[in-house]
Amino acid sequence: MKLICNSCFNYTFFEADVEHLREIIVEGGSIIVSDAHCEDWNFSDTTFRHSLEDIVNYVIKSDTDALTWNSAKKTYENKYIVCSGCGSSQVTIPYCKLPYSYQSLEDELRENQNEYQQIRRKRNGNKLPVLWKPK
Amino acid sequence: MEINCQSCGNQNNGFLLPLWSKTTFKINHDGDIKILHLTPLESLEEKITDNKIKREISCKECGSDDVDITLNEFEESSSKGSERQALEGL
Repeated sequence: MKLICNSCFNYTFFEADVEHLREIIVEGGSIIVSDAHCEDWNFSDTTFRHSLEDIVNYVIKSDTDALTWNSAKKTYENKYIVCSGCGSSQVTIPYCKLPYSYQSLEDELRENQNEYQQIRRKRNGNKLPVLWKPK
Repeated sequence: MEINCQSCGNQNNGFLLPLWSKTTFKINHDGDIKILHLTPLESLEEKITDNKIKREISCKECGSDDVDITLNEFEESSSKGSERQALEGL
Protein backbone atom coordinates (compact mmCIF):
# COMPACT_ATOMS: atom_id res chain seq x y z
CA MET A 1 0.00 0.00 0.00
CA LYS A 2 1.71 3.19 -1.17
CA LEU A 3 -1.09 5.77 -1.01
CA ILE A 4 -4.41 5.86 0.79
CA CYS A 5 -7.50 8.04 0.62
CA ASN A 6 -8.35 9.26 4.14
CA SER A 7 -12.04 9.61 3.21
CA CYS A 8 -12.96 6.20 1.80
CA PHE A 9 -9.70 4.26 2.54
CA ASN A 10 -9.22 3.35 -1.11
CA TYR A 11 -5.60 2.46 -1.74
CA THR A 12 -5.71 1.30 -5.37
CA PHE A 13 -7.39 3.71 -7.80
CA PHE A 14 -6.34 7.36 -8.11
CA GLU A 15 -6.36 10.25 -10.58
CA ALA A 16 -3.69 12.80 -11.49
CA ASP A 17 -3.17 15.54 -14.10
CA VAL A 18 -0.25 14.78 -16.40
CA GLU A 19 1.10 16.54 -19.49
CA HIS A 20 0.85 14.46 -22.65
CA LEU A 21 3.33 15.49 -25.35
CA ARG A 22 1.82 15.42 -28.85
CA GLU A 23 3.44 15.91 -32.24
CA ILE A 24 1.81 18.21 -34.79
CA ILE A 25 2.37 17.94 -38.54
CA VAL A 26 0.73 20.27 -41.02
CA GLU A 27 -0.05 18.52 -44.29
CA GLY A 28 -2.11 20.02 -47.08
CA GLY A 29 -3.47 22.72 -44.80
CA SER A 30 -4.78 20.25 -42.21
CA ILE A 31 -3.25 19.43 -38.82
CA ILE A 32 -2.27 15.86 -38.00
CA VAL A 33 -1.85 15.14 -34.29
CA SER A 34 0.01 11.99 -33.30
CA ASP A 35 2.46 10.56 -30.80
CA ALA A 36 5.99 11.88 -31.04
CA HIS A 37 8.45 9.25 -32.20
CA CYS A 38 12.22 9.29 -31.99
CA GLU A 39 13.46 6.64 -34.47
CA ASP A 40 11.60 3.52 -33.25
CA TRP A 41 10.91 4.78 -29.73
CA ASN A 42 7.56 6.30 -28.73
CA PHE A 43 8.64 9.50 -26.99
CA SER A 44 5.11 10.57 -26.01
CA ASP A 45 4.29 7.31 -24.21
CA THR A 46 7.59 7.16 -22.39
CA THR A 47 7.50 10.73 -21.12
CA PHE A 48 3.87 10.30 -20.06
CA ARG A 49 4.62 7.19 -18.01
CA HIS A 50 7.71 8.77 -16.47
CA SER A 51 5.79 11.93 -15.56
CA LEU A 52 3.09 9.89 -13.83
CA GLU A 53 5.67 7.83 -11.94
CA ASP A 54 7.47 11.03 -10.92
CA ILE A 55 4.26 12.48 -9.50
CA VAL A 56 3.46 9.34 -7.51
CA ASN A 57 7.04 8.98 -6.21
CA TYR A 58 7.18 12.66 -5.29
CA VAL A 59 3.96 12.43 -3.25
CA ILE A 60 5.24 9.33 -1.47
CA LYS A 61 8.68 10.81 -0.68
CA SER A 62 7.60 14.33 0.22
CA ASP A 63 4.96 13.13 2.71
CA THR A 64 3.13 16.21 4.04
CA ASP A 65 4.94 18.61 1.67
CA ALA A 66 2.57 17.50 -1.11
CA LEU A 67 -0.41 18.66 0.99
CA THR A 68 -1.92 22.10 1.17
CA TRP A 69 -4.34 23.52 3.75
CA ASN A 70 -7.83 24.29 2.45
CA SER A 71 -9.20 26.95 4.81
CA ALA A 72 -12.75 26.65 3.44
CA LYS A 73 -12.99 22.91 4.03
CA LYS A 74 -10.59 23.02 7.01
CA THR A 75 -8.67 19.99 5.80
CA TYR A 76 -5.34 19.18 4.22
CA GLU A 77 -5.57 18.32 0.52
CA ASN A 78 -3.18 16.66 -1.88
CA LYS A 79 -2.15 19.03 -4.67
CA TYR A 80 -1.32 16.30 -7.20
CA ILE A 81 -3.39 13.13 -6.67
CA VAL A 82 -7.11 12.63 -6.13
CA CYS A 83 -9.00 9.51 -5.07
CA SER A 84 -10.76 7.92 -8.04
CA GLY A 85 -13.43 6.31 -5.88
CA CYS A 86 -14.85 9.26 -3.97
CA GLY A 87 -13.11 12.24 -5.60
CA SER A 88 -11.50 13.34 -2.35
CA SER A 89 -8.14 15.13 -2.33
CA GLN A 90 -7.23 13.75 1.10
CA VAL A 91 -4.72 11.32 -0.35
CA THR A 92 -1.63 10.63 1.73
CA ILE A 93 0.88 7.91 2.42
CA PRO A 94 -0.27 5.33 5.03
CA TYR A 95 0.28 6.38 8.68
CA CYS A 96 0.91 9.94 7.60
CA LYS A 97 1.45 12.26 10.58
CA LEU A 98 -1.27 14.65 9.58
CA PRO A 99 -2.20 17.36 12.09
CA TYR A 100 -5.92 17.55 12.84
CA SER A 101 -6.11 21.22 12.08
CA TYR A 102 -3.98 24.05 10.89
CA GLN A 103 -2.82 26.52 13.52
CA SER A 104 -1.21 29.83 12.72
CA LEU A 105 2.02 30.89 14.46
CA GLU A 106 0.20 33.69 16.27
CA ASP A 107 -2.40 31.30 17.71
CA GLU A 108 0.25 28.83 18.79
CA LEU A 109 2.27 31.55 20.60
CA ARG A 110 -0.84 32.77 22.37
CA GLU A 111 -1.78 29.25 23.42
CA ASN A 112 1.67 28.50 24.86
CA GLN A 113 2.20 31.88 26.53
CA ASN A 114 1.57 30.57 30.09
CA GLU A 115 3.98 27.71 29.65
CA TYR A 116 6.69 30.13 28.43
CA GLN A 117 6.14 32.42 31.40
CA GLN A 118 6.60 29.49 33.78
CA ILE A 119 9.94 28.67 32.15
CA ARG A 120 11.07 32.30 32.48
CA ARG A 121 10.10 32.41 36.16
CA LYS A 122 12.12 29.25 36.82
CA ARG A 123 15.19 30.87 35.27
CA ASN A 124 14.82 34.52 36.35
CA GLY A 125 12.49 34.29 39.35
CA ASN A 126 10.32 37.38 39.68
CA LYS A 127 12.99 39.74 38.32
CA LEU A 128 12.25 41.69 35.19
CA PRO A 129 14.48 40.95 32.19
CA VAL A 130 17.56 43.19 31.86
CA LEU A 131 17.62 44.70 28.39
CA TRP A 132 20.71 46.82 28.80
CA LYS A 133 23.47 47.13 31.41
CA PRO A 134 26.06 49.95 31.52
CA LYS A 135 29.67 48.81 31.22
CA MET B 1 -2.22 26.78 -41.57
CA GLU B 2 1.58 26.99 -41.49
CA ILE B 3 4.06 26.43 -38.71
CA ASN B 4 7.67 27.58 -39.16
CA CYS B 5 10.62 27.27 -36.84
CA GLN B 6 12.61 30.52 -36.89
CA SER B 7 15.79 28.80 -35.68
CA CYS B 8 16.27 25.85 -38.02
CA GLY B 9 13.74 26.62 -40.75
CA ASN B 10 11.67 23.48 -40.12
CA GLN B 11 8.37 24.00 -41.86
CA ASN B 12 5.13 22.15 -40.96
CA ASN B 13 6.96 18.98 -40.03
CA GLY B 14 7.26 17.80 -36.43
CA PHE B 15 6.35 20.24 -33.69
CA LEU B 16 5.78 19.19 -30.09
CA LEU B 17 2.90 20.48 -27.97
CA PRO B 18 2.06 19.39 -24.41
CA LEU B 19 -1.61 18.85 -23.60
CA TRP B 20 -2.88 18.31 -20.05
CA SER B 21 -4.79 15.07 -19.44
CA LYS B 22 -6.49 13.63 -16.36
CA THR B 23 -5.20 10.12 -15.81
CA THR B 24 -6.97 7.39 -13.87
CA PHE B 25 -4.43 4.85 -12.69
CA LYS B 26 -4.12 1.83 -10.45
CA ILE B 27 -1.31 1.04 -8.01
CA ASN B 28 -0.75 -2.72 -7.85
CA HIS B 29 0.38 -4.66 -4.80
CA ASP B 30 3.93 -4.81 -6.13
CA GLY B 31 3.98 -1.02 -6.59
CA ASP B 32 3.56 -0.99 -10.39
CA ILE B 33 1.39 1.72 -11.86
CA LYS B 34 -1.20 0.70 -14.45
CA ILE B 35 -2.92 3.41 -16.52
CA LEU B 36 -6.68 2.83 -16.86
CA HIS B 37 -8.05 5.89 -18.61
CA LEU B 38 -7.07 9.24 -20.14
CA THR B 39 -9.37 12.27 -20.21
CA PRO B 40 -8.05 15.26 -22.16
CA LEU B 41 -8.35 18.52 -20.23
CA GLU B 42 -7.33 20.77 -23.14
CA SER B 43 -8.20 20.82 -26.80
CA LEU B 44 -5.72 21.61 -29.52
CA GLU B 45 -8.23 23.78 -31.40
CA GLU B 46 -8.81 26.01 -28.38
CA LYS B 47 -5.10 26.33 -27.77
CA ILE B 48 -4.50 27.46 -31.34
CA THR B 49 -7.34 29.97 -31.43
CA ASP B 50 -6.55 31.38 -27.97
CA ASN B 51 -3.01 32.02 -29.09
CA LYS B 52 -1.67 30.07 -26.10
CA ILE B 53 0.05 27.57 -28.37
CA LYS B 54 2.89 29.97 -29.23
CA ARG B 55 4.12 29.88 -25.66
CA GLU B 56 4.18 26.09 -25.44
CA ILE B 57 4.92 24.69 -28.90
CA SER B 58 8.51 23.67 -29.71
CA CYS B 59 10.36 22.42 -32.75
CA LYS B 60 11.11 18.68 -32.71
CA GLU B 61 14.26 19.08 -34.83
CA CYS B 62 16.14 21.72 -32.84
CA GLY B 63 14.06 22.10 -29.66
CA SER B 64 13.59 25.84 -30.14
CA ASP B 65 10.40 27.54 -28.96
CA ASP B 66 10.80 30.37 -31.47
CA VAL B 67 8.00 29.14 -33.69
CA ASP B 68 5.85 31.21 -36.02
CA ILE B 69 2.26 30.09 -36.64
CA THR B 70 0.18 31.41 -39.52
CA LEU B 71 -3.46 30.45 -39.25
CA ASN B 72 -4.54 31.58 -42.69
CA GLU B 73 -1.58 31.99 -45.04
CA PHE B 74 -3.85 32.96 -47.91
CA GLU B 75 -5.14 36.03 -46.07
CA GLU B 76 -1.77 37.76 -46.32
CA SER B 77 -1.31 37.12 -50.05
CA SER B 78 -4.82 38.38 -50.88
CA SER B 79 -4.30 41.61 -48.91
CA LYS B 80 -0.92 42.14 -50.61
CA GLY B 81 -2.59 41.65 -53.99
CA SER B 82 -5.27 44.25 -53.26
CA GLU B 83 -2.67 46.72 -51.96
CA ARG B 84 -0.65 46.28 -55.14
CA GLN B 85 -3.70 46.88 -57.31
CA ALA B 86 -4.51 50.03 -55.37
CA LEU B 87 -0.95 51.35 -55.85
CA GLU B 88 -1.04 50.56 -59.56
CA GLY B 89 -4.34 52.39 -59.85
CA LEU B 90 -2.79 55.49 -58.27
